[in-house]
Amino acid sequence: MIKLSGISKYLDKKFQRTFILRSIDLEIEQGEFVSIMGPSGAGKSTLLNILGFLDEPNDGEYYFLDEPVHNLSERQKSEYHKSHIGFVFQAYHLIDELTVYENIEMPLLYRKVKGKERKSLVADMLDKFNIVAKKDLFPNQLSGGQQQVVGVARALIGNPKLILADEPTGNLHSEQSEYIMQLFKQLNQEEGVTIIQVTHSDAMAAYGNRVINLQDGAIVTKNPY
Amino acid sequence: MIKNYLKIALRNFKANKFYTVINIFGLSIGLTCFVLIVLFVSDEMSYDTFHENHEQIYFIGVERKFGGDFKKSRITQYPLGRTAVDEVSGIENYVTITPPNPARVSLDNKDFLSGVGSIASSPGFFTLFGFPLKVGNPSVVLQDPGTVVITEKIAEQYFPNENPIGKTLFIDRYGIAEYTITGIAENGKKNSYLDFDLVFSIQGLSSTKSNLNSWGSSMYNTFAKLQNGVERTQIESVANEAFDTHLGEARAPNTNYFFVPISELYLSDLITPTGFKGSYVYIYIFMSIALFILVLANINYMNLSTARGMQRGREVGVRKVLGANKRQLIKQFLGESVILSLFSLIVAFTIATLVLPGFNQFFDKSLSLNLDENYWLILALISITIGLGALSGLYPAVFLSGFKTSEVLKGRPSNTIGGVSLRKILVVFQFSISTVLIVGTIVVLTQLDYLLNKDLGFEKEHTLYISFDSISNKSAFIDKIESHQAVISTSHSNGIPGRFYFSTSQEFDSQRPDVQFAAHVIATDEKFYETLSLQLLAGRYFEEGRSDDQKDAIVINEAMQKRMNWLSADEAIGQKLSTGDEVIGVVKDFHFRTLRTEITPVIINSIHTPSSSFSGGEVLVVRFLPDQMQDLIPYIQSTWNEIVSGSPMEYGFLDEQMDKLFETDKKLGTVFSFFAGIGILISCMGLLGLTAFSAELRTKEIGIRKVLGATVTNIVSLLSTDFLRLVAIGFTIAIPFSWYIMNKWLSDFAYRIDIGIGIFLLAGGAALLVSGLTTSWQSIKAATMNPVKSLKNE
Ligand SMILES: Nc1ncnc2c1ncn2[C@@H]1O[C@H](COP(=O)(O)OP(=O)(O)OP(=O)(O)O)[C@@H](O)[C@H]1O
Ligand SMILES: [Mg+2]
Repeated sequence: MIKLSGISKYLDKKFQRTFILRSIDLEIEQGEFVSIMGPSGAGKSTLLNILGFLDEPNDGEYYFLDEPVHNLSERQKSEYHKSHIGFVFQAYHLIDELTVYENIEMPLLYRKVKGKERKSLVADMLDKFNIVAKKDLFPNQLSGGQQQVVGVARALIGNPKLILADEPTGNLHSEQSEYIMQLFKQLNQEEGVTIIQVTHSDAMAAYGNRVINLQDGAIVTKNPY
Repeated sequence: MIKNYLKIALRNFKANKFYTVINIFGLSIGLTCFVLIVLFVSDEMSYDTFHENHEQIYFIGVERKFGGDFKKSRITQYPLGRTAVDEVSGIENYVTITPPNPARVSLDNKDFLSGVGSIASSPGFFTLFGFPLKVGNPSVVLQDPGTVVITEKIAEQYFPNENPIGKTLFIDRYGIAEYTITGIAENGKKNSYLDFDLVFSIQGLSSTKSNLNSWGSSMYNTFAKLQNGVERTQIESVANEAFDTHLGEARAPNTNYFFVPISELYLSDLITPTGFKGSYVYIYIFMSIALFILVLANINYMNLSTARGMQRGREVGVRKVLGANKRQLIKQFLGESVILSLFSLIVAFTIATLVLPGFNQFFDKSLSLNLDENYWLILALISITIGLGALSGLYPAVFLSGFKTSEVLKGRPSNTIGGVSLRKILVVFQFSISTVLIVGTIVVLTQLDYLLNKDLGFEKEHTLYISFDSISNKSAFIDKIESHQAVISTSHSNGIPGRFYFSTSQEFDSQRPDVQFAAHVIATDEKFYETLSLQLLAGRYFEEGRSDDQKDAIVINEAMQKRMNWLSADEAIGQKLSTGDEVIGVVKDFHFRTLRTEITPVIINSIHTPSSSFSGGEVLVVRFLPDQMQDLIPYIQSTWNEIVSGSPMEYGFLDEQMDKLFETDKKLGTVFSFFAGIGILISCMGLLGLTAFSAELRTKEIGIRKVLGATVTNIVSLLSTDFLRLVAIGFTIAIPFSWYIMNKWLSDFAYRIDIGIGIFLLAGGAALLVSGLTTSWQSIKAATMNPVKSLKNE
C-alpha cells in the first residue's frame, strides 16, 4: 500500500543543512497496524505528515497504492483525503463551532453524500461509539477522551483504507487510551483498515503488529529507548 | 454543504461578537452613505430621461465669442427651431420656449399670486416631451395664441370644484394677459429642466411678434427632435451652416451652435447649479466620499479577517484533511463576507430610510427608497454589495485557504501571522483617507469662516429690503416708512448686493472699440450710498435735486475704473464712457456676488434718469435701528396693506441674502465634517479591532513581561507604537494629496485662505489623538490584566 524509498526532509539554513528525515525506506502492506516510535524531535510527525500528503519530502519517492505521490495534483490529493485516508490528531482538532453530530457529518458533506444517507451513516457512527447522547454538544463541552472518540468517528465515517494517527492518546489517561486502542485494533482486525500511529508508549505500540523506530530522522532497528 | 457554511459563519459571527460588530457597524455605515449618495446621484442623472425617445431629443445651445473667448449660452433666437426643421434634413420637430421662470397668476386680474412656474411654448410642447395630459389633445392644446395648459395642482388650487377647461387665468410674465385653459397636465416631474406649473402659448406675446424673424435677439430655449437613427454629429455642422446664412457675415464667425442630448442638459454647464444640484463637481465629490467610506469599511473587514486567520487556521487544516480542496474553502470564506455584507446592507437600508427625510431636506430633494420606485436601483445596490463583499472577502479567503495544513495543525503556525505587511499598508491607506477628509473639513470650515467674516465693503447688518416691482404709490409708501422712528434711512434701487440682475456686455471705451467686457448696471436713488454705507473714493454720489444727475451721470466702482485703464479714482472723474455717460464718482469695490469671483465692473445710474427702464428687481432698502425691529416689521406690513394692497408684501434681510450666497459652501462644510467624522470613526474601529487582536495574541508575552517587571506604560507603548507609526505614515502620505485637492477646491474662490502648516498640524494632531486614544484603550486593558491570569489562560 505504501512504499517509501530514500525519503529525506531537510532544512537549509546558511550553509548548513539540517536533516529531519534521512533517506527513509519503508514498505507498509494493506491491513498492517504499525506504530512509529522514537524520542521527541526524531521526525515522527514529519514522517506521518508526508505519509498523509500534508507535507512534501525534499528527496526520494513515495508510492501510494502504486501511484507516485509527487505526481499528484492538489485536487487528486484531496480526493484521496476524502476516500482513502482518515486522520486522528493528538489535539483532536474538532471544529469548535460545530456540534458532535456536525463534526462527524462534515467529511460526508465534502463527499457530497445525500442527506438521507448522511443521516443514517452519522447515526450508525454515534451508535457504534456510544455517543448518541452527546450528539448536540459542542467540543468544549466534552472531556478529552470523548473528543478523541469523536475525532476517531469523524476519521472513520468516510470508510478510509488508511488511518494516520499522531499520538492519538497523547492527551488521554490510560483508561481512555486503552479504549481508543481497542477501537483501532478492532477496526484493523475486523474491517482490515490499515493503521499507522505515532506513540511514545510501548503499551500502546503493543496493540499493533509492527513497530518502526525512528531516531534523528532515520529508521533504526533497535528500540532507541 | 451551504447549510454547513452558513452555520459556521453564523456561529463564528456570534462567537466573535466584538469583531462582528465592528465589521457590521462599519459596513452598515459605509453602505448607508453609499445608498444615500447613489440615490442622490441617480436622481441627478435621471433628469429628462423620462421622455419617450429622449435619445432623439436635443437642446440647441450656442457659443458666442465675447472679447476673445467663447461663452456658452442656452439662450437662442426665435427662428432657430423653425429653421432647423425647415432647412436641416434629419430634424423632424422642434419646440421653442421661454426659459422656465416664475410668473404671477390671478383669476380676476386683481389678486396675483407669484412664484408659479411658467413656460411659454410653441405648439409642439406636449407632443415632443413626455408630459402626459389628463385632459386635452396634446397636439391641439397650444395651437392657438392665448391658450394655456395648467397642471392638476393649479387646477385644484384655482378651480377646486369645477371643470377648468374653457375658463381663463391672468398670467403676468411678459405683461399681464388673459389665457384660456385648454388642457390639464399631470403635475410636472421634478427631475426635469422643464419644471412648470403651467405652459402657455408663446404665440401672441408681443415679444414673439417682434422676434419672429429676428436673428439678432436671443431670449428662447430651443429643442429639436432628430429622426430616428440620426446622430448629432451628422447634424451639427449642417445645422451651423444653415444657421450661419441667417446670422449674416457679421455674426456668423462669432457664433457656433451645438446639440446637447436633453438628458445631459441639466448637468451641463449651460445651466447654473442650484446648491449641490445640477453639478458634476458635487456628483464627483459625493461619489468619491461615499466610495472612500465604503473602502474604509471593507478594509476593516479584510484586516480583521486576516488578523483572525490564526483562529480560523485550524478549521482550514481540519477541513483540508477531511478532503476540502482550496476552491471549496475559498467559496466558504467568500460566502461569509457576502453574508456579512448583505446583512449590513439590510441594516443600511433601514438606517437610510430613517434618515432620508433629513437627507432630503438638506439636499433639497424628494428622494424615496421603496421597492416599486427604485426597483433597478435596489437591485443594483444588492449586486454591488455582493460584489464588494466578494472582493473584500477574496483576499482573506485566498489567504486563509492557503495555509499549510501540517503547520496550522501543529499549533501556532508561523505563516498565519503573515499578511502583516499588507495589513499595515491597508491601515496606512485608511488613515491617509481619513486625514484627507479631516484636512478637507478644516479647509472648508476655515474658508467659510473667512468668507463670512470678510469685510464686504458695505454694511449688511440691520438692513431689510422690500420687493418693489410693479406697484404704484411708491413715493407715498416711502414717505410713510421713513417717518417711522426705527428707520435710519431708505433707498430705492433696482439692485442690492446679491441681487444685481442686469449686466451689459459691450465696448465702453471709444478709444478701444475692439475691447468688450461685461458690467453690471443698477439704478439707485441718492441715498443708496448712505443706506448701505458704501465708501466713496473720489467725486460724489448722486445728490437730491440736481437735475444734471438725471441725465448722463454715472457712479462706477473701482473695478470699472481699473477696467477702463483710468489710473486712479480721481482721474476717472469727468471721464466719459462710449455711451456718453460721464463719471461723477467712484466707490470702493464692494461684494455684490459670491466671493468665488473677483469683483467685476459696476455702473450705477440714477433711478430718476428718464431713460432708465425698469423691468423688475426693484427694491426699497431700509436701514433700521436693531432694537426697534419688532415694531418696524408690523408697521411696514400695515403700511403696505394700506397703501399698496393687491399683491402680498415680500421682504428679506440683506445679511441673510448675503449668507445665502454661501449656503452651498456651508452645507459642503457640514458634509465634509460629517463624512470626515464617519471616516475616522470607521478607521478607528478597525484600529480598535487590530489592537485588541494583537493584545490577545500577545497576552502571554505581556504576562511574562509584567512578571519580569515591565510597567503599564512600557506595555501600552509596546502595543500602541506600532499602530501609531502607521497612522503617522498615513498622515504623511495624505499631506500632498489633500494639499493638492483642497487647493483645487479653493482655486474656485477669488478670495481665499492659504493652506498653511497649521491646518496640517491640526489635522495630524486630531488623527493621532483619536487613534492614540483608541489603541491605548485596548492596550491599557491588556497591560493592567493580572499576569497570573493571562499566563494561566495560555
Ligand atoms: N517547520 C519547521 N521548521 C524548522 N524545524 C522543524 C519544522 N518542523 C519540524 N522541525 C524540526 O524537525 C524535527 C522533527 O520534528 P517532528 O515534529 O517530526 O518531531 P516528532 O518526532 O514528532 O517529535 P515529538 O515526539 O515531540 O512530537 C524537530 O527537530 C523540529 O525542530
Ligand atoms: Mg510529533
